[in-house]
Amino acid sequence: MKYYLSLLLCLTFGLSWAQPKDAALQDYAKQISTVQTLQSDFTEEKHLSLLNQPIQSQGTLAFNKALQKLRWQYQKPFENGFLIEKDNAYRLQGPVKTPIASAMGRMFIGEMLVWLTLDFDSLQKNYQITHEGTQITFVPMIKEHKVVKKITVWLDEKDPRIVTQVEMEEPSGDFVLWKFNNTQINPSLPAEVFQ
Amino acid sequence: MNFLRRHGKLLACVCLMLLGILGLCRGTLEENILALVPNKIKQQVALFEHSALSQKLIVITLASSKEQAQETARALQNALANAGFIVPKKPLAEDVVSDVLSALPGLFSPKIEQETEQKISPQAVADQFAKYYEELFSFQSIFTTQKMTQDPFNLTELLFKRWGTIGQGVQALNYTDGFLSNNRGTILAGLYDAKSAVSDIKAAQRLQQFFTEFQSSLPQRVRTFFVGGLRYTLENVTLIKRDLTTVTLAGLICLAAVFVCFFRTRRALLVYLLPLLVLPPAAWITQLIFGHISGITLGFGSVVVGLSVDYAIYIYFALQQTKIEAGAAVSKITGHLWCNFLTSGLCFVALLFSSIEVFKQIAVFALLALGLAFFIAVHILPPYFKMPTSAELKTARMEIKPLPFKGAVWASILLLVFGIWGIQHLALSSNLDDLNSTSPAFAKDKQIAEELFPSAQGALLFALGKTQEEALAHNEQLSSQVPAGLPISALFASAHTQAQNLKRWAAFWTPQRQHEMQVLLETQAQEKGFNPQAFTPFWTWLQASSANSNFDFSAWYNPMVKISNGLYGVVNIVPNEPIYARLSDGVRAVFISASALQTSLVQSVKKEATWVVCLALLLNGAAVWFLFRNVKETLLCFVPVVLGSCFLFGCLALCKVQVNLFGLIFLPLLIGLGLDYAIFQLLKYRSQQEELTQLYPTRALLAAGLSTLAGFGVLILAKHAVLFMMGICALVGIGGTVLVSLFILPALWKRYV
Repeated sequence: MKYYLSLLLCLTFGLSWAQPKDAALQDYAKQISTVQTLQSDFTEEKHLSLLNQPIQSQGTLAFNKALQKLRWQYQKPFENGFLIEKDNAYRLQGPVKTPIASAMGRMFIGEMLVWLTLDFDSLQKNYQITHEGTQITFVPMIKEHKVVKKITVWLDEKDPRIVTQVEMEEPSGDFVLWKFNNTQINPSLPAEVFQ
Repeated sequence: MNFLRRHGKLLACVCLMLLGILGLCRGTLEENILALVPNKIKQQVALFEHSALSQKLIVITLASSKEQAQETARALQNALANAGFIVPKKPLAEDVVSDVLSALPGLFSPKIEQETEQKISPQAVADQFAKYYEELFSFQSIFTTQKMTQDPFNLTELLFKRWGTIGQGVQALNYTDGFLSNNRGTILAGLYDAKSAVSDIKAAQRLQQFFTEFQSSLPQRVRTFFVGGLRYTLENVTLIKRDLTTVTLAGLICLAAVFVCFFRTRRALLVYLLPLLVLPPAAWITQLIFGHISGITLGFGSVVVGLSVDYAIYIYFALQQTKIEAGAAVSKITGHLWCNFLTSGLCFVALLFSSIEVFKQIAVFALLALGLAFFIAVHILPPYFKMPTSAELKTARMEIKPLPFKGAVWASILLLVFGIWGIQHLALSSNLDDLNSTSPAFAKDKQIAEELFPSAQGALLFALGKTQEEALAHNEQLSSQVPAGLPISALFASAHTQAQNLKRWAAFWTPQRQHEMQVLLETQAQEKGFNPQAFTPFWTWLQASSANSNFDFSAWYNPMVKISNGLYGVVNIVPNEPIYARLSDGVRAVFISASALQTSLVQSVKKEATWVVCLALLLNGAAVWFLFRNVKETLLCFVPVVLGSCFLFGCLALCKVQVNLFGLIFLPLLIGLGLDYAIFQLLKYRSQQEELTQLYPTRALLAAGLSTLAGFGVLILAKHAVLFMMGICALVGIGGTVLVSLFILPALWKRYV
């Protein structure tokens, strides 16, 4: 589970993809690499065996590649989220912003940053990547991966810089689905967004 | 046959020397800080050395980014394990929660039982589920989803809370993904169990080689190094060996300079052969007696060179400059050499009464070397020192004009005042690191590593026992005497306590309680939309949990250490506060703080030094009085000692030299040497009356003093703090003593004797 957000972010914001061998993927990587800032609304659906019914939450995200800042903000049903500023990470709980200092939290941030700086070559080392049009599938090379079974990313057919949907399936059968809408590519983001 | 008859004794000495060299080569050079501290605090220092971290191999990685540091540290960890340097770490279970939960039954103390009661109350369970539910809508759900099913009551928090309090009040450790780290994550420390003993120099050298090769494969801004016991071993031995080479070479050059100034004949080369003949066998026998020999003792060899060569110098000059028959001259000078041997020897005898092992080694080494040197100088060398012609005799003479009486008195008063001021302003260093021989590069590395560990403000509390079980039981006993308890005892229980805890656990989770809790959980789960079946793993585990505890926290951190005297100790990191200090009984429970240890060290070394100096003064006083049977002469013999010491203390204070504790060893030596020069002057004065003054030429005293300085003073070039201290004390102290003997003492003889 810990990989999913970071992978998602990496795919969404297209940070530093190296050039994959597949021509179409190469083209996507090239286009995504032009994304410098991004703002979007999202809906997150969790289908967990732990729960009788799927749960849904909504929020917004904002990202600035040059400043290495990311804000992932849940708005409904609870207001929380997290903020990354280069090497520092904070938990957002309502209006309160607290540094993430726990080992697990730091590990998460570590993973996140690993993904943020990962190039596509590295991604290819760990995942088998296939695609059908703008639907890209990542399957871990490690058999019986305990966290991820499969990750599917849908890019906008008209503008492949935009990720429209991501689904992460766990080996247990649980899965999480993110749907992105109102995505703006390279908007001007005021500093307050990351406060 | 004729050759053998003429040179047999000398050849025997050469054979003995070769035997000594062979013996030394087969022995071991050992550096252990315990050999440098008095008996009284040896246990404390030994325990301090046995803190859980000191036995570890600590591997540091520095990088410009967190990711790079993590990547390098992981690669290094794997490489070290593959190369067989470290015991491979048991990977942290994917399922930490289930591991820790499995430890709970064995650690189910009355206090934890009480806290569990609270955790499973209806209100607490409702609150917990509300919290879990909210977490599902946050990024934390990444970590907590699995935990919710395994530990719905969040019982593991009871142990995690205690785990987080290890070292509390000292400094929180920053532990990230298997490594200790600084706030930025750019410096990481991996703690490993080395496969070799910390004193294994060959393993330390191999490890150093491994790091050099590994470093060459890294990008420019990434650096790795290791600290811990193995690095200390490497540093100590490397530095001592380098010092020995430097000091020996410099000593030889200085001795050659003295030779050129005072001797310039082939036969005089034998004067300097004497130390070479005596040092190897003396060192070898010392090694046989103690089972090993310290580098400091060997470094002290340069001092013995300076002392032993004096005998040959006095004999040489006596035979070169006297007009009386050689046999008579030797016989006459032998009395003087006996006095010298007696005074120097008695100083080393006084050192034998010290409880510091290296002092004893030095005493034995020096006594053996001086005894042998005396024997060779008196019985073997004289035939080789050919008598000079009368022309040579004339040119060889040299006299130094001493101060007039008034000048001598004023100089003495000034020196006394200077000395008193010096004693008052002397800066004593109590730092234990000053006794270790480490390089400046190591000091920098150590400083980097220390950033990641609890500061020296903390203290260690050791609960000792003959067995691990006894130590753990004792630790529990100590814990019960502190209101907050000792976190270690809550996480590391003795077998007896674990058995009791398991019984308590079984008694707590009665079928009725399990049923009640299951109903409560289902109610809360339904309310929040959880699937009650999701918690089946917890109930399955609970039913099997009373049998044993599968997880031991020592997989993460082992507070148990084995101490050299066969005892086991549980190490608690505690705040340096009286409440913990009071638990110490000095036998089964020992409390050590770095600051208190340094205070004890200073006090006990000062006490030792005072005792050794007093003993040396007493023995030498008695010896000099026995030799001369004259109170005035006896007292005057101590003038160079007192004034030389004053000069030394004054100069050390004036130059703001941080005197490490080993500098105190020099005081008894100064007594012996000062007395030697005074005795020389006294015998010279007496011989004037007997018209045998040529036996005691000033050149002899100068050559002897400068030879000693050349042998002894070159220690100032040593990097080892202890050897350096000896060097600086020699240069100033002996220099002062020689000057007092030459310029002040003769005026006082003339006036008072």
